[in-house]
Amino acid sequence: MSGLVLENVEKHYGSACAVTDVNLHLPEGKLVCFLGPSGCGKTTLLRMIAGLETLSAGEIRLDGQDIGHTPAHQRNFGMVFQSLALFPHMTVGENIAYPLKLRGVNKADQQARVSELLQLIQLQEMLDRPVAKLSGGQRQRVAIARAIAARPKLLLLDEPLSALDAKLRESMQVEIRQLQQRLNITTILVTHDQREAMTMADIVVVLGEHRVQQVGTPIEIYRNPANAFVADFIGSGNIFPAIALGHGRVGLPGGAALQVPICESIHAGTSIKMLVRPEDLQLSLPQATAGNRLQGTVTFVRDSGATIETTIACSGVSLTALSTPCQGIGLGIGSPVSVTIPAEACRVLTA
Amino acid sequence: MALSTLTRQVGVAPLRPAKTFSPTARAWLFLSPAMLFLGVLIAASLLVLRMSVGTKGAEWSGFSLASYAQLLEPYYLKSLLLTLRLALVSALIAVLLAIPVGYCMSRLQSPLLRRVFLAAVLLPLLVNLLLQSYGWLVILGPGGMVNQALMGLGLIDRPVMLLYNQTGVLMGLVQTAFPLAVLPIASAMRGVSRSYEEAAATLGASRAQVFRQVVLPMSLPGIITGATLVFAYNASSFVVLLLLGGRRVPMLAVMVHDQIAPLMNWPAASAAGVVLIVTTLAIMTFSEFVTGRRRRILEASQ
Repeated sequence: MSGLVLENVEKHYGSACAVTDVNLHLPEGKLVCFLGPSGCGKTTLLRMIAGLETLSAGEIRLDGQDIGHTPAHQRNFGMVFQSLALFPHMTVGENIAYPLKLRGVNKADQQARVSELLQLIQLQEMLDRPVAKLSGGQRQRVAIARAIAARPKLLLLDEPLSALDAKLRESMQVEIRQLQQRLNITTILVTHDQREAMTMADIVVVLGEHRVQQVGTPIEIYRNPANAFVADFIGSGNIFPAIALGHGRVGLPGGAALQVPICESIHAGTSIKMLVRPEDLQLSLPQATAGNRLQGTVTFVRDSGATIETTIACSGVSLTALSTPCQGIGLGIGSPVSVTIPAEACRVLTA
Repeated sequence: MALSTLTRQVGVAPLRPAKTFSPTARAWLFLSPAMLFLGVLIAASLLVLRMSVGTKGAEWSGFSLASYAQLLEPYYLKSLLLTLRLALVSALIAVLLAIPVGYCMSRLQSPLLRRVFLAAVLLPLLVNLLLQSYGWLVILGPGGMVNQALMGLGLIDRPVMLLYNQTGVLMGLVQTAFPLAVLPIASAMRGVSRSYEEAAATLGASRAQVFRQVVLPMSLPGIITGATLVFAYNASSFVVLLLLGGRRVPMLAVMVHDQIAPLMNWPAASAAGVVLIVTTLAIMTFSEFVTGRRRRILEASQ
């Protein structure tokens, strides 16, 4: 099988488990994002792929070849570190040429490749600058150029943008994504920022509690989270307890019932969890209860200009609805309101 | 009730008297004890300088460059060169030995192990130089442990001369100054974060290449500092020389002592001292000049 395959990969330090039971297939030429909260083992997983950590168990194969025990310097993967780790005793050009020098490439070819890469990252005039003289975004680009200089089989990015300010980060996200598509290089990006993952990734691997929670495209992960952990971590969501009533209906703690797409295998009487995204809730002035329209009272309003977040107490649960100013109906704390929860927007989560 | 206890005012910070000193003046005030101490030392050095251009018996009133001229005699010149050479060679050896030790120390994970290592390295500084030199006598002397062992093994029939020559002195100099080399090197290497090593490894560098091309150049300022410290310390060392070299290794410091104690020739001793200080300072300035640029680049990036 081509691409990178991880089979039953596991890492523990003494009795503490970092990651366990990781089975992944990363196809060639894609950008894969390891997304998860801090301490979920995503960086450990990346470092095992890079060869900087040993495997406690399992196998890592690249294009069918077991590389799990190959030392890092023989894997030919490019890696960009969180700290970037550009060598301060070398100039920009020397940094980029370093992997070429290690491979015994002759001077002329080194220079040609370095100027080609500098052109790619648009820093031609920086060739002889010391690294300390560069700005944050420029260092970022040099680190990427260095990582891809030797045409690695895999590019690994360990939260490379976390040190940049918000604006620069967003433009670097687009830049890295474009570069990756142009070079068609298989890339793994580790991040805890779900917006970053949504912007950049072909495939998102959600990690949590030391294991893989879900693998899918960004939209799949957002629309169809596999479980409560993913639903809670990706985007903001209303997650609330409910009881299956049978015939495609669930009961809320306060007694109201909703029509939802629920799997037949969940028996009536089972406790479940529901997910509804805030942007899917529709608010209106009080109307009669009908179908999935429920009555509620506004408990909080946060108007941030572009969007209005309204929190509503409704049949024993607290729901947050997101609306645009033109959809606003002038609600204040204590206003009675009707909430329509479209059936197709509801997701039943296994705990 | 509960709210009022939470917000109750418990007092106000007392108003400070208006500042009477400017920040600069306060900084100087803060430095003054150290400055006073340095001032006395500098005054003493200037007195030595004055004496060096005096004449024997009229150290304060006479003026003559005879003492300096005397230092140009081959005997003294050789002694100066020997001093500089032994200090330089001992600095090189100490640094070469200190690099692996410093690297080990900088990469120890366990705080306990690190402390044990540090104590072991610092030991020579805690033990009196005289005791250390006597220790070397016990080990290297004609009837010492090394010779006894070699003779016992039948490798030699007569004691080998390990003391009262340059080898013995060099061993003593390297050992006593070793901590001065290890400490700056270990601290510089601790400043080279692991991610630099890991980055080099992912780029294709073997462990040896990582060490040679990343760790060593990045800790160069610490290595130079270590070498300079050992050099300066050993150029003026005295006890080790006297005990391990005797009068057979005529280094400048021993000569200064001889000029004063038996001969009472203050100008000659002072001139020798001045020459020693000036050459040491010149060499240290040169090393700073050579490595200053790189040091500034490395510091700017950290």
